[in-house]
Amino acid sequence: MHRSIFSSGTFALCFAALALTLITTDANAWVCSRVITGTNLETGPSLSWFHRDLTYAFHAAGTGDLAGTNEEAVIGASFATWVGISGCQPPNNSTDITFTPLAARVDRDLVGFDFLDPAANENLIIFRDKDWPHSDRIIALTTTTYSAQTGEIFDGDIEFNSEEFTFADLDGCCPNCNGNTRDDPDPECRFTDLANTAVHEIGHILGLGHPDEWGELDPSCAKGSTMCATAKLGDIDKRSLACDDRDGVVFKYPAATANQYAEQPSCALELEGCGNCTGQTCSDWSGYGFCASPMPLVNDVKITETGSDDGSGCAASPVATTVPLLLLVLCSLLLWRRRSHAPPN
Amino acid sequence: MRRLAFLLAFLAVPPAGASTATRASLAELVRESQWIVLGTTGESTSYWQDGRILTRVSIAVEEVWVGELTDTTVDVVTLGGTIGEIGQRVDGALRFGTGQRVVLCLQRHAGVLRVVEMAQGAFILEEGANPRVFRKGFGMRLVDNSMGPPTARFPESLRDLELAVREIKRAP
Repeated sequence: MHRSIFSSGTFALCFAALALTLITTDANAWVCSRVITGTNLETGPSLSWFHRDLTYAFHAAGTGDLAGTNEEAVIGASFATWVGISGCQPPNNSTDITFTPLAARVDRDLVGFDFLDPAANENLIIFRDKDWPHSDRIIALTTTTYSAQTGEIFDGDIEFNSEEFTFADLDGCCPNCNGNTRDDPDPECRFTDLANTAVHEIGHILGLGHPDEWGELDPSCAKGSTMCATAKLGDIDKRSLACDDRDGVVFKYPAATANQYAEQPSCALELEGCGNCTGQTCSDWSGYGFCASPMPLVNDVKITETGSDDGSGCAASPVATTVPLLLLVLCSLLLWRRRSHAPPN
Repeated sequence: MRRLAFLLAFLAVPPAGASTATRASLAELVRESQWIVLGTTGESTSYWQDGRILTRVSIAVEEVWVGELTDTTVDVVTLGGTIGEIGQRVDGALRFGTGQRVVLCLQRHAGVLRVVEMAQGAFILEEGANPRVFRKGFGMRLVDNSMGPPTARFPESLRDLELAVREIKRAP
């Protein structure tokens, strides 16, 4: 009798591996940007606003890329994307962060921070149709000023490179374009979607970082997280938030509740001690907060430091994803072994 | 075998997509560079300039791959830094630790040396018998040009990188 290569034991193992994979790829991967310490490493507290009613201002120069002042509507919608949202993970809290545009545009071109007159700082949105001061390939640049002691964000400014790129509202636009690039042979396809860029940059203003690094494989990025470190030009998917983005902002700024941080990040989770993930003792973190996953702390979804200087706060441990992956490898090997030892037909 | 392929497919989850920039190839980085040097980072100093915090980092130059330099030390300026109790972060801007060996693509801009395309123009060395190089985003989001040719992989060893850079520079 031909023995099935898919015995009940192997099937159970594979089923468990697949189930674990599906479960753990839902683990949160969002991270918080953190204070850069004296060693130039991101090991300080996470960056957060200490109030929820944020404002922003457009620079008076505007841009010639969009008709009239249409950039205001697109940017306004991009800010609104982060407002009034609920998280995907239980308990499905919401956030009460708000953004309000100032009634009048501002003339002052101040990206950064005026420390002599802190009250005069605005969260500035500025398009640079000429004299872009940064590298040509930069589409947009976010500058965040914060307290190096507490991580409180004082100011966040976004510069758009409208000298090198032509921004547009691509929703419903250009169905015959295979993505839009500034180098496209078709002049009708040489646009960069403004909202796709703006929603991502606003995430940085809120203190969120990238869940991945260049070339890394992060499950949340496979699901289209707006805060991921790579994208396609012409992409408009990042205009809307993925669950990972929503969970991140809701965790940081829960409605009617103080900002959340993971206190005693390592010790409480029975990892191997703070020293192994941060180089600091648990007491060093008292009084500081930094972000961690809002996921329930179960055995296979631990919280750990994701790197010393990679822009990350805390995220789901590699343990959460490597265990099921190893199970899958084992399962595959078992299947292959059984197949290779199976009698010929 | 189909089941095996099905299961292995689960292992190959495709990647998807703060400052945002278009991805540069090595050839493009070389073309934009006035100098490409191998060096070691030294002291850094942050200062205010029109609301921005900038950080000047000294680089002890070991080798010059592109361009001509008479000085053995150059100062490179990056965006962001910390002054007193105020910190400023610019996603995509390089942050150097002291004593770090790096290959930097440099250009002069507004009277100072800066790294070409911010984080894209810096290769960090991982020391060893055959030193390896890698890049970090430092918060920069890269956008692929879907209409352009596929970007070739960057060399992973220091000497392969040097060879590739010199070859690109020699090409007409």
